[in-house]
Amino acid sequence: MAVRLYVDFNTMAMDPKARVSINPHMQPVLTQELHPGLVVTLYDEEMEVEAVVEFDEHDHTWLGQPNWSMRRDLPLPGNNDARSA
Amino acid sequence: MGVPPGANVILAGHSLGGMVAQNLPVLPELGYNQRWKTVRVITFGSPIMNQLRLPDSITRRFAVWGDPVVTQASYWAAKIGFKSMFFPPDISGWSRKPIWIDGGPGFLDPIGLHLAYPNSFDLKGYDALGDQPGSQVLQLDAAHERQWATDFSQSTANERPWVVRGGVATSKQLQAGTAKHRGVPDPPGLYGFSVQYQPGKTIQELAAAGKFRNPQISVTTDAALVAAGVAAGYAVSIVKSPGAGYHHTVQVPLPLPLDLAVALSAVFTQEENPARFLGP
Repeated sequence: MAVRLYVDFNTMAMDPKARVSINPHMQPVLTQELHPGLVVTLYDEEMEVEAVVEFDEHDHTWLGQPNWSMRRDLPLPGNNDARSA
Repeated sequence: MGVPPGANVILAGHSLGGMVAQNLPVLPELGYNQRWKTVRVITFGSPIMNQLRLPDSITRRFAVWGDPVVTQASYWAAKIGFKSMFFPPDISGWSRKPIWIDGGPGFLDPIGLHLAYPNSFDLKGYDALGDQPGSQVLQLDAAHERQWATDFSQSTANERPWVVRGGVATSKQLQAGTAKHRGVPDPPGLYGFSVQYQPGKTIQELAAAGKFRNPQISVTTDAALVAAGVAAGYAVSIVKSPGAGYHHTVQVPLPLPLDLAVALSAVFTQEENPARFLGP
């Protein structure tokens, strides 16, 4: 089962390759398992997407390059029906 | 702000405005005291804040009997982690208790009590410095305020300096998004979370520029963000930064403290994403 990491997808806007920042403060244990090339699931309150982990040597930051064909909307609270991509 | 440097200033505010008023003179990072001299801080229906740093001699806190914002906000704020900004009533001391006033007839529900200040007959006994007996009557012109607010709302609905983010701006999401901005040299660096912001642009234009993939967007204004930061005891600013669309960074401490994250999250409202991006 892929590692699930909570992210803020707004961080894509500051990356030239539209990668998502993985904040180590949010999931310190899970972050220790990361390595370049690992396929993970990035998610927030509304959607999730598969991504390939990369490490930015310059900024020493973990990033996720999403595969947007694998995006899936998550069910809203109180709604059991997931809205698909 | 139109107030000449060095002027004597009476800071007065209701509810959140009173929270801001209590913080302005005591937070040196805001630079307020370097420009103006505060002769009074007068609050109406505001939780107690920074009272151990704000001298009693210049503070007047008015509270309508039963106003839940005054009587309960400190308790609940402390419960959820606002310990740095509030002092629970039981340690605030008698001298720091508010000046209790009657809200007048017809206000029995909690919200009504919190909004009763303009109609309080008791307030008419206080002057502009919040003293009693006073030489000048302190009276809030609520009718004028409402008219102005209505005019402002109608005339500037599409021109407000909107701040837009993709998704639901929960405190957790703001904390997850707060980081060092990549590509900005350190020092000084740039720390904060990403937003789309450009005065004069509509919410739809900002949402389209952000290419948000979330079903919802979160919207606020620059003034609301800054005010929420001040109310929480932090200096918050919005600066232009490298990125897609009208990318800006809301500068906050790293990591983002929970009390500030909660305060900033609270000023965002959610609406359907009018320009959802579903491309590759």
